[in-house]
Amino acid sequence: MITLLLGLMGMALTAYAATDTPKGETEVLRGFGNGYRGYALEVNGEYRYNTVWGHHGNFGLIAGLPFHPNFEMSVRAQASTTNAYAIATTLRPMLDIRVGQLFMDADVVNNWWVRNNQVSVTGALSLGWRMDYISVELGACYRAMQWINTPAQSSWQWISEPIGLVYRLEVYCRPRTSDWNIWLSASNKEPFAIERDSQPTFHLGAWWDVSAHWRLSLTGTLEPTGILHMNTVFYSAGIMAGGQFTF
Amino acid sequence: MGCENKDIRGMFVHTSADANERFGQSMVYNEDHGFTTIYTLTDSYRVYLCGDTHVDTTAQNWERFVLAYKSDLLCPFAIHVGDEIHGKNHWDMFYATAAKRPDLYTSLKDTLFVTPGNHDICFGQWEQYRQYRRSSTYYFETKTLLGKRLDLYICLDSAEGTLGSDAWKWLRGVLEDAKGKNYRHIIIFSHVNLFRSNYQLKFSSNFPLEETYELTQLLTRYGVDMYICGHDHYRHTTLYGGVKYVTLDTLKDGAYNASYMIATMGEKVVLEWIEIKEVEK
Repeated sequence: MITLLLGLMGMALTAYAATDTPKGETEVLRGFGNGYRGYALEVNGEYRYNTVWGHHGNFGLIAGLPFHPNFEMSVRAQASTTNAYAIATTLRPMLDIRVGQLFMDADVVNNWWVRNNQVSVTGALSLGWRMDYISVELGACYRAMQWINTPAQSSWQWISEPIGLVYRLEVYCRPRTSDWNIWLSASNKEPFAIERDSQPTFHLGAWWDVSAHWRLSLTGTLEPTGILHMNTVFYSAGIMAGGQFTF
Repeated sequence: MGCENKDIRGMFVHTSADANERFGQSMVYNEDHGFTTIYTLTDSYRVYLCGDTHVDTTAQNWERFVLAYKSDLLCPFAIHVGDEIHGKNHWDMFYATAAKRPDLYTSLKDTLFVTPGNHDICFGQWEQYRQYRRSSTYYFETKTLLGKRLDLYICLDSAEGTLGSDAWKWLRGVLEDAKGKNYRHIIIFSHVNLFRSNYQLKFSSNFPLEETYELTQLLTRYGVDMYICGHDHYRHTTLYGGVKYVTLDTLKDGAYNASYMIATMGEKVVLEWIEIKEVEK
């Protein structure tokens, strides 16, 4: 993992050192720069099925806060009909380079599994490189969990898991600043949960900017399990529709 | 082991029956044959447990384990938590080896309880597993010869890293029924770990998050004493919500940490690890 991270950093820094041209608007328009077009608020709803919880719905709220051309923040909240909740935040410093943009994500995801009387906190730090048509991200995460109400037969306790990988690969059919796009991704890092590294989730998504302020999006999710068991089987699928308003 | 024992196709599609199909076939077998009651001489008895033998061309540690539990008069049965074999066609290889030692293997079906690991059913080997091991999801109980009910053991099939929706319903029903039977201990054994351990720095894997939290809460709610698994190959114990989560060492020939565990089942459960270091592959 460290080798991969160093390799990614090295490639990006090499690309940065090779340029003597200051970054400008033209390159922002090519698809680099801020992920958000401005301060934005998104509302989304998802139908989801998994083999443990069955059919359920999720409702999410995402605030995009691009404070500076080189720094943005995202704050997210989700409630599920299964009585599970999540709040999450991402801090993202960014650096334009000759080819694309480097970014670093610092994520904290707090999941309240109220139906299971448990709460977990997952922290992740990852380094990414995004270009017109592709974005890659790799880092590490750490998870701790505990009971909300301590069970009668045990004393208060929490457990943690050792550091694991986070990763995300996105591929777009058009440059990221396009007014519509279709994309594919494979990742264990979702807006409202960070899964174990052996548990990737696959997305097929699309967005359409219907006006200067409104963006509509549709995302399908497929989550198999058992990939590293060499016995892959269906675990979860869903479809999410969202509307984002940029102020 | 080379790539010939890595089921690459299985990383994209399941090559054996999926979790619900295996569960359904196991329930058909269970209904035809009934659930087992093991009778013990006294309230206190010993259970030998091992996992991840990954038998291919040799089975020396496996044979040591069988000899040990069969020669212990206080041990009525043993448990294997999966990955008995390693790769393609190894079930046939294993039983060809077994045919040469009928003294060790012939009566295993009555005294050895097993759960499938991911290696046991990769390369589409579920049918061989069924042929030799019959059922992947079941329970059995222990009683004294005088009929006193002692402990409940539940075997869960997690060979694909999930129990599947049908097994979940069954498990909830079994635990609900157990509430009224006043078992001394409830033990669940399966292959896959619920929590990542400190040793899981290779490409091992666990249940998805939702299933992890659902299972931990269910085990705590119904007063399960222990969840015993293998998969990681390294010994690890965690106490969470009053449930002891035990991961067994591998018992593979040549492994530097090869060991098995003896659980002495009395009013309390006492665990002892037996290390095997002298057998080199």
